[in-house]
Amino acid sequence: MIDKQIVAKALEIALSGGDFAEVFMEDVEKTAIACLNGHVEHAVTGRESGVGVRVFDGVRTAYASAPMEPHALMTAAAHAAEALSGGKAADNVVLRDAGYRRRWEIKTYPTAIDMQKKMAVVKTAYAAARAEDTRITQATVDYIDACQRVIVANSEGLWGEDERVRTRISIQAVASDGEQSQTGRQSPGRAAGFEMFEWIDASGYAKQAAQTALLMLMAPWCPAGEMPVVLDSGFGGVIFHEACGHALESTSVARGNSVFTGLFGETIAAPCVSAADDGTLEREWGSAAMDDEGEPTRRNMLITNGVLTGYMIDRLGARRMRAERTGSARRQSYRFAPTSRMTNTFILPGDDSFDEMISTMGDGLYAKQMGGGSVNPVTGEFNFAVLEGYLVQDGKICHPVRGATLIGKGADVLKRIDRVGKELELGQGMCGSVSGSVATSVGQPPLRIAAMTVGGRK
Amino acid sequence: MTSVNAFMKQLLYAAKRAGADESEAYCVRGASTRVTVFNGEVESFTDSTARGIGLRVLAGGGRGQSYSEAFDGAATEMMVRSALSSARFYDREGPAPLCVRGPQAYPDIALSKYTGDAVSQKEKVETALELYRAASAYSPLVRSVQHCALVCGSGVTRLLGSAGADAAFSDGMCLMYIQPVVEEGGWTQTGFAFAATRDFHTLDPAAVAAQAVERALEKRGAKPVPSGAYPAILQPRAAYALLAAFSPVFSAKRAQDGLSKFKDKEGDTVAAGFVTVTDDPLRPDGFASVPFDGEGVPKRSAAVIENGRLNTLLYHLESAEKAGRASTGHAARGSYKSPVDVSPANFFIEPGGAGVDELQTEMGAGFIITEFEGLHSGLSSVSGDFSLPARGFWFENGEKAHAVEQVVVSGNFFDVLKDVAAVGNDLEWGMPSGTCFGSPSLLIGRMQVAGA
Repeated sequence: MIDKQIVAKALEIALSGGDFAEVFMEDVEKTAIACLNGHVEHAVTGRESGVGVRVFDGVRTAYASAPMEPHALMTAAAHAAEALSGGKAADNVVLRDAGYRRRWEIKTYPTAIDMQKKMAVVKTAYAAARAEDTRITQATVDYIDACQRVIVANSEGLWGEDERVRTRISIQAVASDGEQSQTGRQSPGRAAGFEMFEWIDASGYAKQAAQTALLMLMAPWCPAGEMPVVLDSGFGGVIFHEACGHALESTSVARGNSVFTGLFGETIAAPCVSAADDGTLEREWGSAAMDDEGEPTRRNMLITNGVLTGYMIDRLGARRMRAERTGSARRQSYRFAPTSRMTNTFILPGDDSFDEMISTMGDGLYAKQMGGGSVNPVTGEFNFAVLEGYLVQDGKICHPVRGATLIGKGADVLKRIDRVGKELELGQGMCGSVSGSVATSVGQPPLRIAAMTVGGRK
Repeated sequence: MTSVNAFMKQLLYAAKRAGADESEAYCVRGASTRVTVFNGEVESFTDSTARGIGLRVLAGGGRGQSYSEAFDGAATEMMVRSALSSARFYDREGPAPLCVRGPQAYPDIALSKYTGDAVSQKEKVETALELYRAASAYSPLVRSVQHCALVCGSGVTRLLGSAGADAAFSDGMCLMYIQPVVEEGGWTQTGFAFAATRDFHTLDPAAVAAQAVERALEKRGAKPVPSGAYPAILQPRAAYALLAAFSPVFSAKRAQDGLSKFKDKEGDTVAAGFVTVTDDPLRPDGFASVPFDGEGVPKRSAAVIENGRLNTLLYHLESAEKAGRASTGHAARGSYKSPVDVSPANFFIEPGGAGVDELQTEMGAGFIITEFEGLHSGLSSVSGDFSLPARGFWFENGEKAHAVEQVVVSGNFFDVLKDVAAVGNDLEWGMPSGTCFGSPSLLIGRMQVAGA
């Protein structure tokens, strides 16, 4: 990291181009291990470090990134200022430590753990997946950890420091009967060190991944058509994340490109739906002490009893929308200017029982585990793969089905939710957007959508 | 310049002193500028200088890897220690060589000169604004522009091996893209178009803008078709996106790992007779043209599928050694951070003789697929199965009857290859996943469509 005095000097140079300047410094040490078919595919440790300088002139911005060296920082500051040339006499910048602290302790830093122990976790998970059944012909285990230290300083005098430690293990199991193969996946992760494995049973997750693959191997194709769908808890929340969450980011709202622009205070969902984005949750994958603009993270209510009550807003969005920042500015690394992003985003628990929502749904689909998907942020149209699905007939879960896809529009689906269950669970993922790929959690209790288009093969 | 090369040599020397039998340094440096436009005004400038170095070692019968973005003594120490530590956990056959040994003769490729650095910031801004204005003026239905950007970037890659490998390549690309939003009544849609070129002066903002708006407008009146199995034409963008998504099946490494159905299929017929798939890394002005691969092996062109027959998979040094043959030069490194993988460069389905009209006539009534969505999630490259939302047109009585949306097309990539009934002459290129893929329109006998 670069000295406070030099950073202050760089901010003064940058400020000559506009009305606000910010320096982001990052130093991260990462390890990635991949194990395929029982062998170590790769084990790579590396260090990434650099700086990013951002200057605002109203709602015009310039961003310059460079290696972490004082002269490179000064050059980047000069480049960013030149690009805008908003012109104002440079003020004297005095930086004061904001004193942010992570709300929980890291017990075992990944950097302090021998590669041997990380390997042992990976190999144990691999063995558990394979041991589930002889038809599990392949298994892949990916382990990653990262210890990211960041400093955000700006021309308002802020000096904010944060350290984000993350650990994740991802298990993919392939079941094959010689002709066909199907895949199951589990990827638990936490904002924690190696102690994560004290409460995350990697072998248990590996077994689950194997079981999904085996179930899908025997499953017939899912029928297509419009039907009620029960989305289970945890990663089922990916639909809300993709189809609604992104449209509540100021990047989209402030540009007038979101279906939710101008709907603050309006009913956008069924009354049983409340949703939040919360970057403060202890040890949760998307949590941090401060965001990447140096604003403390917080809990933002997005939807309260069906009414739109909040957006996720970064500094640029705050200027455009004349609203407050919400601790939602994030970026993959110093190579990206931050934008408004989600942290841990979820639908809050309701009162409905899972058994009742199944027994009263008639014929439909129970999506126990969701895969990935995509969404058009302008129209809200989305599509998601169902990793583990079951056909429901006459209110009873009948048998697993494969190849199901859920299709729809975020704004429609929110209004069609007619049951929200009691048990909230979160699932972890990586979310890609304009400011790169960041760790986010999605989540929800089990919930039911009265009618939805299901893509299938029958 | 010399300081980076000196640092690479020091790194190799430090690895040797610490006990590495052989080592390789792979350095990437680059600079880029980006201009984005919103509401007719410049919204942001981005200027990025980046660099990084990867170290790979052979030591004690194992192979290890590390990387750093800092180039100093502490970074050298960390990289050497980490790479040697990771080499201790190597537990596969081999290890194969890290990279080529000794100097190689690399091919000359006809590439236009990158001119992005010589163009002033002002001209870049003006070109980006022109792209925005051209889209806004193209149709009164254009409501706004979601994304509009111009990016110019260049980089230098150098690979240095302790056993004599020494390869360097510098290249650059100018890129522009736009996504306008069109609106009519309550209906809203987007279209997307991009252009990439080494010579800035060949960028044509008006053409890119027109293409993007047309791609939005052509979705007017879109509706699902009834579920069923229909003949289909994959337009080039849909065809090369599918080829890209399933390109891992051509990797010999994945085949050896049991992750590709093309395992042990070299020499077999895997596609209809008029399907020829080529990887041509030496293609003049190809987006992904490059003289050497991620292990320093000289690049050359390869007919991967020739008239329906699978000639060869794509090999890097390790998969080649395992198969007892030579590398085909397909080692790929996403960056100095990435482990070495296998991937093609300019990978494409060779055009056939049929015009688009002929394909349509031969199809009769059917689904013209312009684009697939959800390609990163709705498919399995292991099984070949896909289930993808698609857009396009319903075609009957010799014309496009209406646009199609909210349908899901399902099938299996390996079946689709065999079910190609005709190949068009309209080869187009794109970069659907960072690397370069191409295809003409393909007529497919039957595709399963889930719709209304």
